[in-house]
Amino acid sequence: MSSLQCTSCGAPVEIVNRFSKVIVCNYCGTHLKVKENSLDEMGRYPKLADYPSIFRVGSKGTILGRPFRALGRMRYKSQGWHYDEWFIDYDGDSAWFCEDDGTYTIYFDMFEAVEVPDVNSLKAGQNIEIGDKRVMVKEIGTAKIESGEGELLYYLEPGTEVTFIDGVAEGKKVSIEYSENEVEVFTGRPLLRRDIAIEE
Amino acid sequence: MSGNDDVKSMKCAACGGDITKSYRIVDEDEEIPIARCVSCGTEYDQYTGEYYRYFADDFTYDKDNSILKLGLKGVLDGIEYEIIGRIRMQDEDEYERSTWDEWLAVSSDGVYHYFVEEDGEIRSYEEYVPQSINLEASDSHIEFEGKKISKDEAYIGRIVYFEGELTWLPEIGEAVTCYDFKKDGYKFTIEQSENEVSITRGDKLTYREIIDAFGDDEDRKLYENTMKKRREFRNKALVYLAGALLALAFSIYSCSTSEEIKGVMAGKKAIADNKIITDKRSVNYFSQILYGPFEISGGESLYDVDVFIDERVQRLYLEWQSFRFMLIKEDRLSRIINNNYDAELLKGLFTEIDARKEPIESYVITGDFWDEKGVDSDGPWHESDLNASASFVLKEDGKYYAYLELYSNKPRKIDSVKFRVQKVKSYRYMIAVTVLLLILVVINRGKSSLYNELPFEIADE
Amino acid sequence: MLKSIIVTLILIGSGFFMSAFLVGYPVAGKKYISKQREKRKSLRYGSAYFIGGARGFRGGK
Repeated sequence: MSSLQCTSCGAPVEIVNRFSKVIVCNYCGTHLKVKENSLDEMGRYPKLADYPSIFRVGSKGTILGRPFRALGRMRYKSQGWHYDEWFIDYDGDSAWFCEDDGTYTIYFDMFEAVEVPDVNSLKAGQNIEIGDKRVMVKEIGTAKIESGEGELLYYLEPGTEVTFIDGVAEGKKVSIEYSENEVEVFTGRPLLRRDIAIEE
Repeated sequence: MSGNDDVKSMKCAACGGDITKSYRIVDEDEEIPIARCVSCGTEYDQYTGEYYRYFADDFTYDKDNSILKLGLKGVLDGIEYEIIGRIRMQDEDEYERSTWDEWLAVSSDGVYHYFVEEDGEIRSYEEYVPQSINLEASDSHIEFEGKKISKDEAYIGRIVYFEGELTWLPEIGEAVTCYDFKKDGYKFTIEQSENEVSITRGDKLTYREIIDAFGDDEDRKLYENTMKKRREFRNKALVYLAGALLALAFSIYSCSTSEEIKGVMAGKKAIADNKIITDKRSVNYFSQILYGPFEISGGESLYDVDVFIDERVQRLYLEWQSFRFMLIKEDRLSRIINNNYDAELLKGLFTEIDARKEPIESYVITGDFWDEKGVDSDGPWHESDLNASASFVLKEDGKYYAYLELYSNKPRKIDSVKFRVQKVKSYRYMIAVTVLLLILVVINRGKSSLYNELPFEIADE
Repeated sequence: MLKSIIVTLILIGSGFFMSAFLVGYPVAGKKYISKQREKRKSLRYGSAYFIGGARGFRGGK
């Protein structure tokens, strides 16, 4: 854990995960790019509206019996709905905890680099090959990054449009996010509320 | 959010003209409702989204007949749910209302949940991630965790109404392809729309659970009364069913118990054999045969007489033959003819038998055998009737003769008409009792499913 | 429940009674003969029997 100061307001900011790329100042909301021993101001965005979430930055507890710590979140918004993607430290690994439509899913990076099909050629119900897995496309949609808080491993600037595909393969959920510069593939498993224990 | 605000102002998608209700004739005489543009004549049937916008009232008139409503809170299995939204779907293949409601609830810990209500039955659905699913397995079926489901089983649901808070923005008339199937004791639903496939697993909830969770004291009281009455009707149906089975068993026993009188055709005296009878219109053939005597030992009993054509002897083809069968007590006949069984004497007696003031016979039956063919609106037909039977109660036992008189439009072998006499048991009243009791079973079974004091439908449990 | 048991017993009892006593069936023998005798007594000139001769009461063609 390293302690730095917000370049905008001077408030102290703590970085828990050494791989975090961006941290959002808890006081002034400035998005700060993490460099080796310094922070670069990327812009200031409105703080996230306080929609109910079971986590807040710093929440600790267990998921499926293994310890976790919520480090930060990105909020995706589309017409009439939104979902939160929490970046968590999960027993020493990086993971993403997604709250969407009242369902909980924990995601892990699936592959560093895989071939993914052109999203425009896909439709719901179709099978696609991701690595050596056959994935059924459950949903295709678009969303915009609303904003974020805490520290983040992956970062997209608020306002960036992403196309996402939700799929299923071998009893697991698969999430593919297409943004302007990159494609991320995650695989995850659904959680029940009772799978998650949060320390008060 | 509510989905039916602009129904009445709907305009034609093709030209912007006004839409009116109309009908289309299908299958020669069946009228199905459609919407038609008064300007350009474009028709909107149930396979179009516009149809559902136009006819929304027909599919939503009973939308408030449910225990569930927006804002309602209830505790199920220790988890508190609040109903926050609802989508009503209509089966695309039905012209009449055939809807189900998908109620969206959120639990106290923020988890979304669906309660699907159809025909008074409510299931609780949650998202399911299958081990394997392939919606493109083949042209004819999909695959779900090793189970093949025919694509013919899929049906299209159309959104006809929505209200409250939903996780997506539906559109009236939007089509969703649905598969419903059972696996490992659970009911699964796959819903596939243009942009999304949802896979859910449902558990049936009893109405008691629903009432306990979402009902008030009045609902609970009416539910208890309804269930008590339904149990009463169900028990009544069981009593009537037991009675019906008893009556049926008695009928079957009676029906299968018969005792044939032996040797009824053993002694035969042909009095007349195909005697030609001519009248103004036709030439016919007349035969008289006296069979017997034979012993009938049980008096005060029920007997069946069957008279029939034995086609092994001679086929009846495009002709008719009528008969008169008489049962005559031997001592009565002997007394009249003075024990003289001369054929000529018998002929005279039987030819004038109807002229006697005192009947000789103990019983008589008549009937016709025929074979005809022709053509009617259904095409050519060929039908025949080669049997006749009657039941009667014989009061006195003893020796009897059977007199058979035959009349036909073509010469017929006299041996081609045979008869059988059987001592039987009566069963027609018990059959009638069985039917009556089964009707009572059906009525009470129906009431045990339909009796309802609650202001909304609840399914039979 | 009790009412249904009573109704069932009455129906089965009635069916059994009518079956056992052969209610409603035509009767052969003396009853038939006396019935026919009464019928024939009513015959007079001009009735179907005298018009049709021996075949006047035939049901057949």
